[in-house]
Amino acid sequence: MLEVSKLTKFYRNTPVVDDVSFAVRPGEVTGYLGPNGSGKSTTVKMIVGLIEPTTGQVRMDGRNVREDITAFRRRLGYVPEEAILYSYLTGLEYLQLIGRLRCLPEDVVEQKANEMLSLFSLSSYRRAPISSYSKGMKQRVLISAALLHNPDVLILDEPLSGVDVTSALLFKHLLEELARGGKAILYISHVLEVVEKVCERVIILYQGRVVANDSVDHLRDLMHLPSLEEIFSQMVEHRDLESTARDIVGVMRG
Amino acid sequence: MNVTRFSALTRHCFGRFFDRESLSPQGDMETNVAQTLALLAVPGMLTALWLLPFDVRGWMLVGARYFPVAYSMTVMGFVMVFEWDSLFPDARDYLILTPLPIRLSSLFAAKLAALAGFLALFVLDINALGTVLFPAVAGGESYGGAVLAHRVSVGAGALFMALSAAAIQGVLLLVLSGRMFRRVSAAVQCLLMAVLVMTLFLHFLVVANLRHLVVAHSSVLAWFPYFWFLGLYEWLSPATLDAWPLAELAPRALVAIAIAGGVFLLTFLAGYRRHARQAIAGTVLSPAGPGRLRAAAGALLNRTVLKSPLEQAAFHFITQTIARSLKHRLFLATYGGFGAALAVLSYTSGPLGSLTLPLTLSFFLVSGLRAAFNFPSELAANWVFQVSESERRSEYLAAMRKWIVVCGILPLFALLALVEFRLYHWLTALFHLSFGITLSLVLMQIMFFTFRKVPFTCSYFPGKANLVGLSVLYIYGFTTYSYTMAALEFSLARNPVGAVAFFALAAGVYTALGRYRERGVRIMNSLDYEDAPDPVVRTLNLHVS
Repeated sequence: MLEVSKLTKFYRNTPVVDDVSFAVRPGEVTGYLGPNGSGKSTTVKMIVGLIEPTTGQVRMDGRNVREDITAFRRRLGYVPEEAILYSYLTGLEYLQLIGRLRCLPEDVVEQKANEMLSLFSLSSYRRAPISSYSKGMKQRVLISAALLHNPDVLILDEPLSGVDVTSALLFKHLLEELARGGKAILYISHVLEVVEKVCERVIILYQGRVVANDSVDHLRDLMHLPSLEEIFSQMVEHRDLESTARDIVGVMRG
Repeated sequence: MNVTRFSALTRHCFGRFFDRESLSPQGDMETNVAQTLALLAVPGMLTALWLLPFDVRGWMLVGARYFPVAYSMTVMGFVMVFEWDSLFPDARDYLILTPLPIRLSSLFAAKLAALAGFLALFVLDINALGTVLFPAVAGGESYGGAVLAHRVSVGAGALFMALSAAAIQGVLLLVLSGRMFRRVSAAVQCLLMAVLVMTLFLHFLVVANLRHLVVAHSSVLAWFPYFWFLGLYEWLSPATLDAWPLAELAPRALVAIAIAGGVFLLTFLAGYRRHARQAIAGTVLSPAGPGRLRAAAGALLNRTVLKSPLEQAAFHFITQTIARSLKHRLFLATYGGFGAALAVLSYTSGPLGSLTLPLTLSFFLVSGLRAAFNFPSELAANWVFQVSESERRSEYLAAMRKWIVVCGILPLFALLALVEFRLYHWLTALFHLSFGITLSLVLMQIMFFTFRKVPFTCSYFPGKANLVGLSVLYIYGFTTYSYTMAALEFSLARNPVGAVAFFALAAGVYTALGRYRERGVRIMNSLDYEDAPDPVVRTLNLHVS
């Protein structure tokens, strides 16, 4: 189990993530939601060890991951918020690089990389440089790379950004399958319909603090609201959005 | 077209010449412009000021005039090489500008106007102070006439270089297919860079032998464009009648400008639409993959040299980055040009020339790779190395050393072997090559002793380096490595016992350095991904005791 305990990050005396605690259990998909700038990606970067937390701990099966970050990373698959890849590599070369960095044997790397690219419909583009890929294709490469070494924990930060409908549907089924296989999955997204369908629990972050941490069903019952979208809106958005939309059109017309 | 819009478009195109990662990763355009122009204006002025107190005339004046002509042409050559990809609008320009109500012809006109302005700015800047001061060096002449001769010859030289570079690109664009063009164009750009750097350092050799070359009517004069424009200078304002063979080259200079200009205009116009189509279409997806030879070589390396997946990952990553990152290839071309120039100078310097040549080349190879590995490539993507880093860190570093040996040192000495075995008895050639390779390996151990990163994955702050200290270290290291070791090689060639002792000592140093480095790597928590930046506030390290 992945546990985040009292995680805090300050940037120039401003708390970007403030006393955040939650757990991601094996066999569960946990949704991590929040408006832009709420601290979701900062939390994720602290979990994977790309930035240091100001205070707090991340534990894997009860052990502080900082004690042996390499061992934790061996069990981790990560899709970052932005599709930043070595754009001069081809899709196949990128997966080969990841496979080798994950210490997989050469024949396994070749086999898995080719199969992943084929299953994610990238087979015909595998020899093309990533710089020529669309945003959705890059995301599919990132997802393939995160799964290549069969990790126990998956942290997926906006994995469906720019992905087409078919791939998004495939991904939804993939998440369910991975959870059935006992993987602990932290899923960060703005697409609340998908979150509502695949996540057992959701954590809602607002201005760096956790404002909800419960199952979707329980939140619905508790707040007497029919959908996650309305729950989210009520918790983090205090503007009248219809009136704001009218104002924008007004400005546009001059 | 609306004048305001055209002016805005021209300004945008002009700004894009400075908005380049190779010039400044931060992309601060105004600072880039000011710094670049200020730096380039200085040498012309300083040389003129330095010469002013002397009575410069005759052959000395011809030699002195060679400097502004060569400087103007070389700087313009460098400018064109740096701006190689900006001569035409790139994909970003097209994607941003074509949805706007702007015709392609307007974009073309704005780009051409911006290019003309950009080149004019550089020509004026690099020669502005020199044009005023330099003619005064040749006292006794009509100052006005001297200014005119100076301005025309340095300007014409610069114009020739600019038009030639643009014409080469235009021809490549017309002759080659999109994919081939990208490959060949990048190779030509690197080659031009190496040649320019090399000639930059060979100018000293040229000036020293100028009189001899002219008096002997050397054929070099006819093939080296710098002489044509020096000839133009002599034709407009003769320093000595003895240099008349140079003045006779003036028509060649004018014809060369006309040809370069004509080719440029024809190919630029014809290639423009083709380039636009290629840029908008983007990279063509190719299912072909690497050729059989490359795939076989990769597989062979994986089976024999690269024992672990981590070594394979780092090794192939270095190969792919060097092969595809233009910034790194340009950097290595610069180092290569510098090394080649010094190698030529070493070779012609005396009896030990043939022994210093391989050592000079290997010094620049190893130190050039050390410097190139420091520059990051797509730094933001290094997260993938960070999140997958293994505790077997020495394997990343071993892969890097293997790359230097397999892709750097051995190919260099294989090329040298072709010459060595032709020139010397096979035993002598074998000794030369063994000596050079052994020293190169020791040099690699020394230069990469503190290098604790996967090449191209760590941020780099160049301003942090102590340039004076580093220069002294490099000059001392270079002279010791190339000249002292060449002398040692010369003496060891006739002393077999000494030679055996040398190889044993070198093996000992190599092993000891390797072991000491491994001890350091074992206690590391992580490889380096972030170079410590310069502190914003420098303290004086004062303490209250």
